[in-house]
Order: sequence, then structure tokens, then C-alpha cells
Amino acid sequence: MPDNPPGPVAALEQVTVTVPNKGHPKNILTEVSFSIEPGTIYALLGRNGAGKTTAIHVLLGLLNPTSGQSFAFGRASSELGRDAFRRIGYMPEGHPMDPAFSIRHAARLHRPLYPSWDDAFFSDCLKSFSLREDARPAQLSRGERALAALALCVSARPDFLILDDPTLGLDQIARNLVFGVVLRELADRGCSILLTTHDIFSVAKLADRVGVLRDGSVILDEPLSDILGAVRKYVIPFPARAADIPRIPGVLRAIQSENEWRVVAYCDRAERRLMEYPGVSVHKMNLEELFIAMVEPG
Amino acid sequence: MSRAPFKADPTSPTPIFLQIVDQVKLRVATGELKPGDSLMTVRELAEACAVNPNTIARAYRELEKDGVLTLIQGSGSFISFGSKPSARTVRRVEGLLQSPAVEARLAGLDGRQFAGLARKSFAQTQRLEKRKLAG
Amino acid sequence: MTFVLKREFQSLRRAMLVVFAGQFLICAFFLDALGFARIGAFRFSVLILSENMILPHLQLSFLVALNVYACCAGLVLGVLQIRPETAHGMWPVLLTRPVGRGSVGAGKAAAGILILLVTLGAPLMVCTWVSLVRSSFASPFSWILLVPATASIVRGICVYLLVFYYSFSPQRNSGVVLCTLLAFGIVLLMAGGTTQPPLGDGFKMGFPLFLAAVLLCVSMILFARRTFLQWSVSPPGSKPLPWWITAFVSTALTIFPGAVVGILPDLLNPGPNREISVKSDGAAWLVSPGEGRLARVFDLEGRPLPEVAGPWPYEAASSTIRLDHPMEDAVERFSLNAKGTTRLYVPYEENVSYGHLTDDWNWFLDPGANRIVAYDPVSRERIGWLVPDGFHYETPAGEFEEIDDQADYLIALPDRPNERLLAAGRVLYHVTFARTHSSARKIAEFDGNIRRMGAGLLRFDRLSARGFWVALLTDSELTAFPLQENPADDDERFVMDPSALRRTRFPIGGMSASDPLSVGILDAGGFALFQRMIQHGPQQILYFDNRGQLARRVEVPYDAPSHPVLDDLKWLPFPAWCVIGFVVDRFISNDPPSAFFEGMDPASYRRGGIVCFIAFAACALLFRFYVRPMLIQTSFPYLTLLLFNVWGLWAMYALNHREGRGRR
Repeated sequence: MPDNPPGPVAALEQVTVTVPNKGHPKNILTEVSFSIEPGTIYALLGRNGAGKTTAIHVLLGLLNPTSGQSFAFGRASSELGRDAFRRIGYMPEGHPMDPAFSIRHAARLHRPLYPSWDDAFFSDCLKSFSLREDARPAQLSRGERALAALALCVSARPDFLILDDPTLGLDQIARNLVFGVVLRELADRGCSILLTTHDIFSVAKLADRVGVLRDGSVILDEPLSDILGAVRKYVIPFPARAADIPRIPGVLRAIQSENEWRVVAYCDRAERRLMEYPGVSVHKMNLEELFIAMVEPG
Repeated sequence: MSRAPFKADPTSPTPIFLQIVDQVKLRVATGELKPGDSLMTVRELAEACAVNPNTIARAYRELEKDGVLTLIQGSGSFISFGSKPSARTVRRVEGLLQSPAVEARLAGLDGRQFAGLARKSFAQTQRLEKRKLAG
Repeated sequence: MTFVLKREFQSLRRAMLVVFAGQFLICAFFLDALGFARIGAFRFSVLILSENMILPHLQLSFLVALNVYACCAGLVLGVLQIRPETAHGMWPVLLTRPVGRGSVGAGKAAAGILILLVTLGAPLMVCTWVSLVRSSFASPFSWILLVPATASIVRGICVYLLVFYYSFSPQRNSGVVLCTLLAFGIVLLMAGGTTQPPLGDGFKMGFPLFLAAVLLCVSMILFARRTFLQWSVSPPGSKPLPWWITAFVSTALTIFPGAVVGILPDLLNPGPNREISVKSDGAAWLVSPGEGRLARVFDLEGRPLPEVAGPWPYEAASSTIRLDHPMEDAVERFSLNAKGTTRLYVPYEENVSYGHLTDDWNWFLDPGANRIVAYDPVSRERIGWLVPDGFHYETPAGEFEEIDDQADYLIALPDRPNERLLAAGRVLYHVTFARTHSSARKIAEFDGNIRRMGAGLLRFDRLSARGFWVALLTDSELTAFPLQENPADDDERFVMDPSALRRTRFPIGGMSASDPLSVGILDAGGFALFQRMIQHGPQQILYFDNRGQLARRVEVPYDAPSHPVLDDLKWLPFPAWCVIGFVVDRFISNDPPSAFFEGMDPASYRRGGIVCFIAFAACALLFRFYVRPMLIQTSFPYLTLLLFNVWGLWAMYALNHREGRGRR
């Protein structure tokens, strides 16, 4: 395994992607920055269309950003070459598989591409997923296809695994299988993983770091273990000086509904000022509540 | 060595690593884990709980800092409960007592009554431990 | 690369099968058709002369069908290769495998070209083999067809590459693609150089329409679904020009240069082998049409003849003869009369040339007026007109409707007996033959008899006293034999003499039936064989005596008719477009041109562009100076079209991109 340059495995720096949109150019990503440290799982969360897949495409050099830079393995994404892609396992959204190839055939095709390809591991994977080797993608259910694609992906023993919504449309059992594989990769080989998913509770158990995208901007990028303790929700009924609330330092999000403000804020920085409001109540949140509070429209 | 698995609850507002820390401490306090017992390795526990091994490692580090656990390179993690409380652990206990204290004040208890309750629950864990040791 | 190749072959194996089967189907159809022709079911077996190749209509229609089929196969294959990738979301997968973008693109293109070569080429090889087996087995194929057929395959590959390129291109506008495809269809027809539509004007018009309709349907079906050719990620940072501008530009860029390039070579081509005429004393003359409407006459040493009698309707100016009618793409006839003066006969549109009368009058077909005129050879006065209802002195009674009527009248002219009419071309002979026997079956049989003996029929002439002579050319030898006329039996009017056949076989090495050749038959018997290599190759005239011995060999420095400047013009667009594209790339574009190239290192992309440019330029030079066979000529418009599309779209993308940048 080639030595990694020190620092993150991959990073986006102030990446903006603009697309033409009937005369009104639209930003898919706006100054997005995040980085994936070696040996950790980075979970990128966001609603549909928040720009998760675009961010991954930028990271992989499939798309040139309008401005900003992205790196992987210490090289600009647009210059990723064979050697870099040998170390990257990428599973695109919807688990696409070549329709012309059976699973075994696809594996045979991939083997010469990756020096680190592990045949034994591949058959183990298929066995544990109870997949037939000669099945074609058309004969597989969605979950089976996802597992097959994942097996192909991890059998190349990549150093950097990028999974774009691997659990899309999967049942709970298949989901657990997928995340089991992800965990094993991390534990056995110290693989770095970038993951997007809508399965928040799995993220709560898996991720080292969580990034939340809303409308193409990163609104949260924190280590998971810190964020739950550090961020609280404050509900302030009938606020007197409402306009001030979003400007309080440490406030991540403030949503006004009919008769209350729902504020998400770092407790160490914002709690003192928020507690000054009469009738304020403080709530701890689990990750799902936090995610909803961050991305809910309002 | 503890056979009963720890539980990681993703729906809880408590971070997973803290959940593990709390559970280990509870088991040590109740005598379920005795000094010298070894814990599962980070990997084993991560697999058992289906949790990121980095999280478990973090929990073990916290436990070590609190003096509950001793990591011996190459041999594993061992419960080291019973050694002299460090200044850090004392501070931590103090912090933990803060919210019961607030509750006690709101309930209208005075200092003596609160100390009595604290002593009582402390004795309870001691009894539990002795029973475990005897059993 | 292996990865991509394997993948493509696996994904395209069904397409491969379909192309393969279709190709065999075409061959099978033509085999069958020829079989029918043998038993007289078709009247299509009439031969026509084209660039000195004598091709049955069936063979010609084989070429046309192959031409269309190869293009369609290229189109379908290009679509099949890209569509599944977009439909199944495989692009991101493919581009993140450790193979490199260049390998993905090159691998895919290589796989497609290989598939086309194998699937289209293999049946062609089978046909060639069949045609080599000398038997009475009817083959639609012969050596002559090999070069144009290969050119057709190259065309198919060009179409494929065009579709392939479009699928990678950033111009997602279906209007653009549609317009370009239509333009391509038009150019395809304009540039259909070597293969003449076999069934006359109606067919000539019908095929383009048919092809355009097919292209239109295919395009509409494909592009109605806007997902076609789209990668899941649209290129950012660009705001496309309005679709009608891009459509217009694309069409203009595609049609005009392509059309010009398609027509130019035909216009400037010095034309096929000119006629040779041999006098009784063994001297011979060549006549070659030059550029435009000039014809030149040379003696056998290659010197322009100073004195050529330039009668009507030509103005003779030393060695140059100005023709009243453009030469078109046909064989013009020329022969010498007893006094050694020249007569030029402009061919009729359908390559039918009319005979002349040896001494008394000169008959001339006036294609403009569509009638046959007789001139006095001495006074050069017009004597009269030949019309369907007879010969009229002075004013013609009317226009002719049909060529057969004219020929019929020539034959039936009471005071001009048949013996005096030289059938100067095969077609005329067949016309007379058919008229005489009123049986198309006989023609087929006769044709079959000749075919059984070898390959191409070169020349069929009638000698006044000795019946007909037939000159046949096989791979290595020329066979000439007299056909005895048997007036007693109307059904078996011409009889071949096998002993004569044996005697008159001439070994001529280094020639094949696909070489442009012409044979002059000496009045006294014996032959002069004129060989012209392709365009500017060496040329020679071989004389054979009565017994078939090679008597003389004359090398002819015969390069006069081609105009050096005009001739080179047609190569001009090729490097010029390269240069334009390069300049555009250098000064306007800072970005790679297509979604496929998104994320590619611009430096390496530019390096690739430069390498491409150098390669293209080298190819152009190579073609210009060394390789000028028909293969390159006929595929040339397509190649240039393809190149031009690449560069043009590149430039448009660059402009779009710059505009997008500017607005931000």
C-alpha cells in the first residue's frame, strides 16, 4: 500500500458548482468544504437534491467545479489517475451494474484492474450475502444488486471507499449487511469511508464525522461524538426580541413558527444568552432530531 | 470478562461513546466487572455493537482517563477499579452530582438530607458489589 | 484498455450478431437475385459501363445497398454503444475504474471499429472468395467490387465515429444532432461517388429520399427521449447558446464544407481511363478529357497531337478540343476513321455511346437535343437528323423519347445496313442484341457463358467482316476470341469458337480486372490494350498481334489532363480544418470540449489534441503524396466531415464556455 501523504484522504475546499438554468444560473454547491481523515467514516447527510452526489462527483473528478478545489490522495481531483482510482472504491447512487455481465464475469473483469483484488474475500462476501455467482443484474433484486455491487467494490480492497446512498431502497436486513461490510472494512484495514445515506440511525452508530448539506451549502461539519453533546434545541415561546435570535453567536439554525422560535445552537456559546428569554425550554436531541431541525424547511 | 453485550442506542441523545462509558462504569460499580477483568478488544466490541471502532476506542480512552480501565499494550484492556481516585475523576463525580443537587434544591431538600440520600445510594452500590463478589 | 475492450465486446455481442446477420442477408439477397437474373427473371442484367468497370446492375446495387447498410450499421452501433451506459448509469462507474479516460474513449472506439470491420468485412471476404472460385456458381461479387465495397465499410466506420463523438459531446441539443444527422445524410448522397444508382433517375432520386427518411425516423425516435446521449451530470459553468443558433451553425458547418468536399473530388477527378483507338497500321491515339470541358488528344509517346481535325461539334485548337457538352462521369468514345482523323463521341447520360459510321457519314448523338445527327465528314455539314419515324434531311421532326427508339432506328435504317454500324460499346450491342432476339433470357445466358470462362468482360466489338470479338480479362490473362455469327438460327445467333479461344490467350502479368483498362481491337485483328493505373500511375499500351503475341509495349507519360492546382484543392479543407480547430483550441478554449473530458487534466488533454493534430496532418500528407486509391477518395468526404464536426463542436463548446464564464 502506497504511503498516504499526511493530512486528509480527500477534501473539498470552497467548491462551487453552477449549472445553467434557463437564464438563471443555479448553484448546486456553494462554497462547500469538508475533508475525510484517514481511517474514519465521514457521513454526508442532506435531503434529496441537497448536492451530495454532486459533491462526490466533484471529489472524483467526474465534474469540474466552477470554482474551488478538491483533492484526493493529495492530488487535484481532475488529475486523479489510474493509481489513484486503484485505491478508490466508488459505488454510485442506485447501485448500477453492467447489465451484460454476471457477477462472476464482472469480478473476472475487475480482477486485473486492481493489484489488491482479493478473490477469497469476494467469494466470502457473496456467500455471506447468499448471492449466486452466475446471476445477472437483471435477475437480482434491488437489495441483491446493491450487495453485489458492494462486494465488487470492496473486493478491490480500496483505501478510500465512497458509497453514494448504498442503502437506497434496501430492507433492514440488507441494510445491516451493507453497514456490516462497511464496518469491517474500517476495522480490518483502516479504510477511509465517505458515505451518504438517509438512514440516520445507522449514521449515528457508524460515522466519525457528520456533514450536513442544505441547498448546496454545508451547514454542519462536526465529529459525531461531540455534536450530540454540544448542540441543544431551545424552544422559546412568544419571543420578545425575535430578530436578535439568529444573530446570537453559536446559533446554528433558528426557525420561527406561529408562536415559538425553535433554535439549534451550541450550548457552550449560545446557552447563556438564550436562557435569558423567558419560558425557554432546553432539549437534548438525538441525531435524527438534530438532522431534522437542521434541514427542515422554514 | 463481561459476556453480556453492551448496548449502543442510536436513538438516544447521548453520544454512543458516552453510552459505552456509562455502561462500563455501571457494571464496574455494581460489581459485574471486577478489577482485573479484561474487556473485549475494540474490534470485538465494535462488531458486537455494530458501532464504529473509533467510537469504542474513544470510549476506552475516556475510561482510561477516568481510571476505570488500564490499557496494557498487547494484552488488552483491564478494569483497574479500586486504585486511588484521581483529581480528574473526583472532578467528574462532582460535575455529575450537580444536576441531582439542582433537583434536590428544587424539591426543597436541604444539604443534610441530600447528603443522606447520596450516602444511601452509594451504600446500595456497595452492597450490590459485595453480593456480586460473594456470588 | 483490455478492460474496456472486453466490456464492449460482451455488451455488443448481440449488436455484432445483428450486423453480421444483416450483412450476410444482403449478400444472400444478391446471390439469389443473381440467380433469378440467370434465369431471366430480371431485366436488370443489362450491363453498364462505369469508369471502365463493366458492372451488372446487380453488382452496382449491391454496392449501393452495402453503402447504405454500412452507414446504418455504423449509426446503430454508435447508439448501441453509448445508450446502455446512460440508461444504466454506468458512466460514473466506468470513469472511476483505474483505466484512464483515454483508454475508455480509445477502447470503446477501437471495439466499435473492430466490430464493424469484422462484421462488415467478413461477408465481404466470403464474397471475394466465392468470386475467386471459378465455377458456374453465380456470384454477385467480383474483384472489381472489392475497393468500393471496402470504401463503403470505411464510410460506415466514419458514421459510427461521428455518432460516437456526438455521444461524448457537450451539445445536448437534440436539434443540433438532428440537423447534423440530416446534413450528414445529404452529404452521404452527394458524395456517393463510386456507386451509381443502378435504376435510372427515379432510383437516383429515390434513394436519397429513402435514406433521409430513415435517418429522420431514427433521429426522431432516439432524440424524442431527451435522456439519450446524456450523462447524468450536465457540464457546469456553461450557458448554451440558443438552440437555433447552435443548430444553424452546426448545420452550416456540416453541410457546406461536407457537400463541397463531397462534390469536389468528382468535379476535379481527371476521370476514368480515356479511350484508345488503333489504326490499321498499328498506331494508336489516346484521348483524355481534361478539367472542365476540354479534351486532349495525345499520340502514343505522350505528345499532344498538333493537328487534330476538330469537326462539329468541337472546336479543334491544336491538341485541345473544346466540347460543347460537359463530359459528365462517363466514358466518351473516340475512334479513328480511315484517314486518321479523330471523331469524338460524347456519351449519352446513361453511358451509352453511339457508334459511328466508318466512312460516309458521321453520326453524332447530341445529348442536349436528345437526338442523333449525321454529318458529312468532308464538308462538315450537317446532313440530317435521325428521328423515330425515320431519317430526315435538314430539320428534325421532333425530339426523341427513348434511347432504344434511336438505337432501333439506327439498326433498322434500311439504307444503312447493320454491317456498317460498329457497336462501339457493350450497351449498344446489348440493345441491338435484345432487339434482334427479343429475348432478355438470351442476354443473361450469354453473360453467363462469358462469366463462366473467367472474370470481367472488357470489350465487345464488332468487326465488319469477321463477326464479333470479345475481349475478356481474368486475373492474369487477356482472352480474345471471335464470335461467329450464325444468321440461320435466330436463337443461337452468336457462337463461340473454342479453338479460337485457346489460341488467343495472352499472359499479362500485374494486371487485374479491377484496373482501369481499355481494349482497342485492330481492324486487321489483334489488340491494343491500354492500361491506366489509378489516377496518376504509370500507363502503358500493349500491342498484340493476330496470334496473340505481345508485339509492342509503349509507356505513356500520361499526366497531362490533371490540373495541379485544382487537383490539390480538394485536399485543402482537410489540413485547413485541422488548423482552424487547432487555432480555436489554442486561443479560445481553455476547457475540454465534452462531458467525457470533464475532470480531465487540461494539460494532458491539450497534449492529446496536439498529437491528434499532428497525426491528422501526417495522414493528410501521406494521402496526398502516396496513397491515392479509390478507397481514400471515396471515404475522404466522410473523414473530413467527421473531423470538421469534431473541431466545430469543440469550438462551439469553447465559445459557450467562455460566455458562461463571462456572465458570472
